[in-house]
Amino acid sequence: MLPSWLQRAETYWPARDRDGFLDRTIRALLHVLALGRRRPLRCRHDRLSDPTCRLVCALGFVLLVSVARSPSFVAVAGAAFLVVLALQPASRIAETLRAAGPTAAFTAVILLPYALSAGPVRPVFLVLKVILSTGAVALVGSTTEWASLSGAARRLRVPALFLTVLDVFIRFVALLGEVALEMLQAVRLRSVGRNRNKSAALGGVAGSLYLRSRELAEELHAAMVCRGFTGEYHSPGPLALGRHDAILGAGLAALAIALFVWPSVP
Amino acid sequence: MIRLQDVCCTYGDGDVLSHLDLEIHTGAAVAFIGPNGCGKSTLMKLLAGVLFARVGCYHFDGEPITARRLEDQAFAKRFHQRVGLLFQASDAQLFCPSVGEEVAFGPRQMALSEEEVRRRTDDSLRLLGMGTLGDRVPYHLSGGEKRRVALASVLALNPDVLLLDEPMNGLDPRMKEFLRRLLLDLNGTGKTIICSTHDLRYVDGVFDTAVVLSEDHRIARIGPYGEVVADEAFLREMNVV
Repeated sequence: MLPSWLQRAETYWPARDRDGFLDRTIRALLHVLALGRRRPLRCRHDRLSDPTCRLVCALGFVLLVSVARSPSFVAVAGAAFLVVLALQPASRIAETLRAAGPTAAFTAVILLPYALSAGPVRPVFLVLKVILSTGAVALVGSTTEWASLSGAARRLRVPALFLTVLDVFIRFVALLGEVALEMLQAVRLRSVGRNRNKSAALGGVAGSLYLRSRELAEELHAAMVCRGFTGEYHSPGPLALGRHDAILGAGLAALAIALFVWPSVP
Repeated sequence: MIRLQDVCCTYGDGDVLSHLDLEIHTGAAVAFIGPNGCGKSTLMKLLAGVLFARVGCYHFDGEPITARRLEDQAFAKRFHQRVGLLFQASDAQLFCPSVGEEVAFGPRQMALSEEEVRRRTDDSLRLLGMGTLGDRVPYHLSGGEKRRVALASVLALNPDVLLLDEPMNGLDPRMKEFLRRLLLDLNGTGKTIICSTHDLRYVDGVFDTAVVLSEDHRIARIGPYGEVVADEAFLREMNVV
């Protein structure tokens, strides 16, 4: 037998309340998950160079840019990066710039007080370094599949435990994001009036998410083990270097020489 | 009450709902039937105002339901009170420290007296056979119990439209039969029941209309429920049975 209140239509009009935080969080989470779901863009250039060579060159590039103290060197490195970037499809160029842009903007904000007191030259120099470093890493990430990247890392003797943690983390973040999104949507759907205790609801979401994350991590690892994962990442056979790897290597060597030509700030 | 016109919805890179046209009247009992991955859950979320159409429009009582329209907080809250959604995964729907608080979460915001909130909470839990579990932690309940708590928390809002995404999942046969009778009773009071299901045995007699979604995310057929589920050749072709 249904209770009487459930048998009649609700005559309710909600009081004013502000739930902007919840909506913004849901929108941001949806955006991040959509990025994760997007199929990686592949093009024929991707197979022209060896993933290990690409990874070494990117790390070498980041290292050279990081230790550089000469703006001239950073300008040359920037030009080299732009040449590599220009050879990519337009959508990948946009993706790389989208990855580098926010990091550079964040760095610029942090350096703002220094720029105001000591002039803009050094902060601009640092922001350029950040753009080049994050851009290079983003470019390797978008041109190389995770399996090839982990194989390349294994070839470079990166510990298997580190790769396992990274692997689980990458797979797990998307799963956990989906759960978090559903929970926030559930809160949103039942937030039908003035909620004086929003923080308690969001705290509940965080607590449930923590419990669920532990369970998910165990299930995810068990699923990997059931499919033959033993914690070992096998090195993907001998290096197959080609013409494009030679060009990348030569470019990196030229940059290393340039670093000695312009060793410090003129 | 509910009208979809040429609605398409995208998830990742591909369409999950493709050119849907559908009209559901007040007090109807509609079953969405279709194989896995045909877009039933997406359609449920679209009707609940959680997801939005890429193209086409969705009207609820003549009002367009879009992201922009739901930015009007008063309208959004009223809409969410009128349209209750039971998620396919109940785990995600429970976020309070106790079962009692979980069910009271919605009514407590509706400016009801504390006595009325308690009455609704107790009634909802008792209705679903959970009267003694008010102090339990939702996370520690079994799958079927979580499902019942989630349904109680939706019912406590007294929505006009009940969207149930695979409600029979995780329930034992006795509970399925109970839920079938509950849906009949709720529909009898004038509530609109919209339910996605592939468990056709336990929902016999509940629905008046069946909407069959095909694997290419389109509506393959809309017709009287009895007539559609009796057409075994069609359901086999649609990969439903």
